[in-house]
Amino acid sequence: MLKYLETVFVSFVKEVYGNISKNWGMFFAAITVISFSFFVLQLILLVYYNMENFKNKILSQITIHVYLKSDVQPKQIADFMYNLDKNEDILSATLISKEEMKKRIKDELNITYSDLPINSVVYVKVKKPEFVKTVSEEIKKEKIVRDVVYWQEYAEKISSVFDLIKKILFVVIVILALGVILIINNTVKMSILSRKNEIKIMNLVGASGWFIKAPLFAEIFIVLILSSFISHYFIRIGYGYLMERFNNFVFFNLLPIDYLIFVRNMLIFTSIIISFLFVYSTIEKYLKKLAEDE
Amino acid sequence: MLEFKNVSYIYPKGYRALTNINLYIEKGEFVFLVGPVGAGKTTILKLIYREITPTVGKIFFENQDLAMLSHHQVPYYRRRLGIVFQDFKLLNYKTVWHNVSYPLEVTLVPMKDIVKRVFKVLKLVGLVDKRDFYPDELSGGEQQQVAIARAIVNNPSLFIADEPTGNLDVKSTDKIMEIITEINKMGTTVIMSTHNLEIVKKFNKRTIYIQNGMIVEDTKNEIIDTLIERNSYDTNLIQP
Repeated sequence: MLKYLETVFVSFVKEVYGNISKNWGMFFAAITVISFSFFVLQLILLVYYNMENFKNKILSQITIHVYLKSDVQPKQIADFMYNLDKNEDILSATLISKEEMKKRIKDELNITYSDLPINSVVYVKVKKPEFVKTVSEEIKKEKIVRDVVYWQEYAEKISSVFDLIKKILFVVIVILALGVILIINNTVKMSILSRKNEIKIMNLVGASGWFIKAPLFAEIFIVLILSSFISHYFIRIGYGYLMERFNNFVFFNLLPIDYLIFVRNMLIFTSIIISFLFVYSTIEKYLKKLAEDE
Repeated sequence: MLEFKNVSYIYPKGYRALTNINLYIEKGEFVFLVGPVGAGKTTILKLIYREITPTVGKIFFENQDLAMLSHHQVPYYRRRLGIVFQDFKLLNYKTVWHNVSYPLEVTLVPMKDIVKRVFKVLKLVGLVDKRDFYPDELSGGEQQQVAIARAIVNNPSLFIADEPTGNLDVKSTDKIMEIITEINKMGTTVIMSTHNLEIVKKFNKRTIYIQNGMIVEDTKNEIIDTLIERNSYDTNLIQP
């Protein structure tokens, strides 16, 4: 059994190696084109994720200012704070009491207004930027709340602009992904056509279907994986340069370079999925077509 | 061993290639298929190696209905056949040795068996000394010898040759026929299509004459002289 598996493995490796070395030019062309497509795809993915990160950073800076009424009792404030603590969308809620507020004004502005109508304030931070609006509306309904203030318009504008850009980028990513699939489809087709005679002979001498298909499949798989690594290498150089040059300059930080590993792994994972779902059926399709043309 | 029962074949574009073919070939027989270009010889061979299936009728190989073979069973069936073509169908980037060993490699025969069997068949066709040559370094006859070696390296029970001498000179033709006869003597059934009536006459084997997709004679070739004389079946029949 072991001997048989060894024969299978050796024959398979020889076949894949033979295919690649015989069609080196096409192999190289496929890697170049797919690497470039993957490069652009990764670039857009990085822009996408950095924008998402940027938006979240901006929105997470937004604090909801909750101004309480003047006549509220300590017990009511305690209940209110307890409810805020229980709310799962809220990250933190900090109470600044009436006295504390007066002290801050005195310390910071060096003035004392004994009769100033200053009330307690609660600063609320939410876990996700998109919770700002809903949490604010919920808080506003509380009886002891006089007013709730946050940069509503600003937050909404930022959200809508970023969401629009994200949608456009998503469409571009889908188009690019379709482009990559088209290139892979063409590579499979060319690969089969360039081996037309060989496949015909393999068929005649009784090579089983998988023996014909597996090396073709492996070749495309290698192209995809190599392209993922090559494009990753170049994007890493470029991104590293950008980080070094601009990260301390711009007012937000780019995502760390390790994030690229995530993007690369995602690409490799997608390549594997594409290979199994798409490449195999494409090989079958063109082999069938080849047999019909004979 | 091989039986055609009322077989007709119409190509997808509507061309009727064979009409009601009935024939039986015994194990170990040597059969010539003769007939003019377009008579249906190659279609018969394609049906035998299961490139196509009959439009009507049935073909049995060792009692197995070929049309019933699944897509996955066809490669295993073909391993019992050896097939040779007029245009050799060799891989030019492989040496003689690797062209011959190819059917064994793709059917995952262990390496030590491959070496033994390839040497044996190269010896039979007389190309051991040229085992490291590439096909384009060989003459047409030698290329056909390589193709024959490749076809028999799997020890097939049926050897099919589609116009194997069609591109060869007289000397090479004799050599090829000598090898094919030798293969038949070893017990392999041979079906060979040709339009070379001189060969048919010389070898005195069963001859099936096909014209317009129908069998018009199935006999030992005592009647070949009559056929040549009359030349009545087809004026396009190419005579050497």
